[in-house]
Amino acid sequence: MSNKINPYYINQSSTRLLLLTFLFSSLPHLTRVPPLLVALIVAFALWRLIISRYSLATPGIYLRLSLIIISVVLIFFSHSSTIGREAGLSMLLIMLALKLVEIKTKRDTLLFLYLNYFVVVTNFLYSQSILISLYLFTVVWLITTTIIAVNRQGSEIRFRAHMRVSGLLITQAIPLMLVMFVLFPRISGPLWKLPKSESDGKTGLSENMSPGDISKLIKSNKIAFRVKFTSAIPETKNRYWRGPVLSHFNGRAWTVDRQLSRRIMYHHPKSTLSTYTITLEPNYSKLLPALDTPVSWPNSGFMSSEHVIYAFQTVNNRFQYQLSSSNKPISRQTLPGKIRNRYLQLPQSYNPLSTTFISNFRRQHPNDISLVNNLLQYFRNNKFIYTLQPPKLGKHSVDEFMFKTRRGFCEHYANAFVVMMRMAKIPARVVTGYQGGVYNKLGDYFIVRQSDAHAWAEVWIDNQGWRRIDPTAAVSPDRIERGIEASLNDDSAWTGVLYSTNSRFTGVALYWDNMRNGWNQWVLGYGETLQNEMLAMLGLLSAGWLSKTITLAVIVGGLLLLIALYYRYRDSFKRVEKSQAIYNRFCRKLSSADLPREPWEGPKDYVIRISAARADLHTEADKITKLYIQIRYADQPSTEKIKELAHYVKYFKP
Amino acid sequence: MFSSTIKKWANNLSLRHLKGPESQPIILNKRRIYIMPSAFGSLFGLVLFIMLFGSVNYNNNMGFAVTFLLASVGIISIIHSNANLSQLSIRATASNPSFCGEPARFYLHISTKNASEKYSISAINEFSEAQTDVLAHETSKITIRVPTKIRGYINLGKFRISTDYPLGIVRAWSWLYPDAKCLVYPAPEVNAPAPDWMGDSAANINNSDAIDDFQGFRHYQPGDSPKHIFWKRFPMTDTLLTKQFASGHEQDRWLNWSSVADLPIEQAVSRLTQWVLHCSDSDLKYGLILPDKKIDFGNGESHRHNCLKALALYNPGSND
Repeated sequence: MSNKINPYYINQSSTRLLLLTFLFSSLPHLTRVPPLLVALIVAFALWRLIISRYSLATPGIYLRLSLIIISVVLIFFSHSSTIGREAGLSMLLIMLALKLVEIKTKRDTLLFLYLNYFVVVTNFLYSQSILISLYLFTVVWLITTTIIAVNRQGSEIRFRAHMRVSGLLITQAIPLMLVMFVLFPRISGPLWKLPKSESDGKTGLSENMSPGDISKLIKSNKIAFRVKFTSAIPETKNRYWRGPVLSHFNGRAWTVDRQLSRRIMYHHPKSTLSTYTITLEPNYSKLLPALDTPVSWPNSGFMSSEHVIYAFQTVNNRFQYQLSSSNKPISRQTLPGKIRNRYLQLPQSYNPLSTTFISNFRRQHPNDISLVNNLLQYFRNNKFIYTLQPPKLGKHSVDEFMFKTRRGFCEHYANAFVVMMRMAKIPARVVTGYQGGVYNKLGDYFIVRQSDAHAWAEVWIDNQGWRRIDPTAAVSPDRIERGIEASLNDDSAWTGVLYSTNSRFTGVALYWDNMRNGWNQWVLGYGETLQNEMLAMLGLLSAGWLSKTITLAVIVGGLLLLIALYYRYRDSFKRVEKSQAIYNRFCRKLSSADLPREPWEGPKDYVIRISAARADLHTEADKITKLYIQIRYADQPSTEKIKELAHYVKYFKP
Repeated sequence: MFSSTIKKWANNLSLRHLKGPESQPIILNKRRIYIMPSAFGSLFGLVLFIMLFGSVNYNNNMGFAVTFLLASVGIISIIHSNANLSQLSIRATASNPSFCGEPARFYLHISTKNASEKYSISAINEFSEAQTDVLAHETSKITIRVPTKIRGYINLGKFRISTDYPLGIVRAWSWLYPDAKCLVYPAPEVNAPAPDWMGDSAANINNSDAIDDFQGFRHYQPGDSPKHIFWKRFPMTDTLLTKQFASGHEQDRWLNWSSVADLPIEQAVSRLTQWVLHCSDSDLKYGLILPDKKIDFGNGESHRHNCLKALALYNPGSND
């Protein structure tokens, strides 16, 4: 029976608006979707434009079904799967584009726009940086504007006016959003297991070291982690950030020896301590880098017997943890025979030259410490060169490196050094990690990048324990003292991509990084831990999710009430303010007639004084004052009364 | 279904204040404005829920931020929808009478009591829906229709003023029952026989196109039909002359109840209505005699209205 007057249709200008909205919300995704599928999406969008331009019919159910099947097949071929994050994303965007083609009703249009909000959120799975966030929130504004335009069907699109309304809505929503953001009960860990992503370019230290691994890392400008010291800052040459310890060698690659890297749960006796907080970028492994040598670690992790800190769960999100470290090696008296043998492990029949060389060397230096020092001296005296572009090495990598090429970087030196130590029957192992870091004055923290990746050696000295030996320092002390860039003087091929410490942009760059650090720490890093700390500060100690929810409801309700009250009394407020302004004009007129109103004087007292001083003004002043009082204290002051007041004041001439 | 139960409940709640017809104009205020999420609102909520679930799962703080922002926008839009109806002033007036069977039309004159503009204001009853924007200091006029089944006065009845501005996710509405009525003329009888005075030759006046004989001119008198004025002479003489036609005898042009009295009452009324329309269309002078009322000879719009009104309101019960 109902007789709708405005049958819904989308005309050309609203089609263009819908396309524009879709374009902006999916723009960052277009690089993540295979080009073939992007072309498909563009084709669908153009089709929609043509449909609107020439008022054609939208495709029927069979055509749509076949298009869906074709799209799914194309997605499957482009991704070789239909599940997983990337394939799911392609599916979402293509189905939205298809939806765009078949839009007929208002319901279709609004569903399409709501799903655009969803597309915005999926963008955040890839990046939550400041700039991307700013962009995407602008897109949210645009989508909201389009929803208003669509909802105002029948009337022409007045984009600017709609933009203002949606801007007002969003501005008013921000306080509520902040309250929800802060108080919404957070849980750590996912509700269901994250599907493995195809494109997670993992950069970071891994559990093995093949030739070239570290040099690849060194070329990456990505931030590994940031460190803020709460104690004195250790010198650059002592800032070794410990990563995986590699104790098994197969002739080519070093790997973690699981037998040696067991979990230990006890804390070491403390010596001189550095205490600091690390904000780790997601490294998709369990490694938590720590300053050498860690003595206490967060509860969410443990320390292995090789003094490496591991988290119990893979670090998929930015993660913050507190540590303390000793600058002295941890002393141990003995190394049980079985373990000693594992630290002396070497593959058979590799590097014959080095074996001979070391046995001669050993005869000259029977003492372990003097052997180590003399080997380092050997590196120093024999023109070894530190370079990121070393020649390729063959099967006997140590032999070739020691006696032929003599060019390499930390991983070559660590590798050669540890192999030769083991040949000399001194237990030794490779330690990978980071060295150095750039100080950010603004935020008082260090940035450690993947380019600070490093590898060094540890040797066991009887009655002393494990000692850190960095053969790279013997060859290129600059690498350790001043960072990776200063040490590369033979070829500057990589300095462009490296984080430059002496460019004139450093100041701006450090400022920007400080901002990003704050963003990461306080906005993106806001989770269960920070929430509990903050609630504790507010007096909600050990707040459970129930009390969080109640607090949330109370504050949201209160804010809503305030906004509603504002709208309820907005007109009255305005009128009262207006009448106040008019009355002030009246007072100013009198004050220029040498009858200023005293600050403590009420309007009634004032008018009595005026009448006493100037009898001729009595009638007018009395009328104005009475009217003013009436407006101020009336429930619903009327506009007419205010006009009357304004009129009297205007013609009031003292 | 659960949602329809809620809808019914909210509707009954919002109808509660309507005890009887209200005096006009009706000004909407917070006591009578009700707000509920619309169907689109549920859809919006569903999408938000999915977004929230995703944000929790991926522990994505910007996802949380967008979700919470949109939820807040949704909540804030409640206030905007309410403000969009608040202080609307509505006055309903009847439009021209309609014949029974045609819908009766009412005009709604909508203006705002405060200085803000109101958008997408719909007036909805069971039978029709109309939408308008209301600008500050201006009055918008929209039409709302009610079907008619009987002659006489018809009440506009209850209808809703509603809006889903700005986002369409909540709908604010208020039920109105203004004291407005519209006259409904009786439906003219289809295929009615001609009145007695037309003679037997014109068996059916519905397809009678008998041309009356021209008799001569006389001086114009107020009330003469413009169709019969001899316009060609006017520029030359500056006097208006009216053409005179002969069409039976004047005393016979009574449309008399007695000639239809043997019919059932409604059919009798319908036949007289048809005769009135015929006479009025043919520019004849005619009078109407009802058992309780007599309308003298006349012509023109207001005469026609008087006759039709008398027929519309004729109630033989009141005569006894």
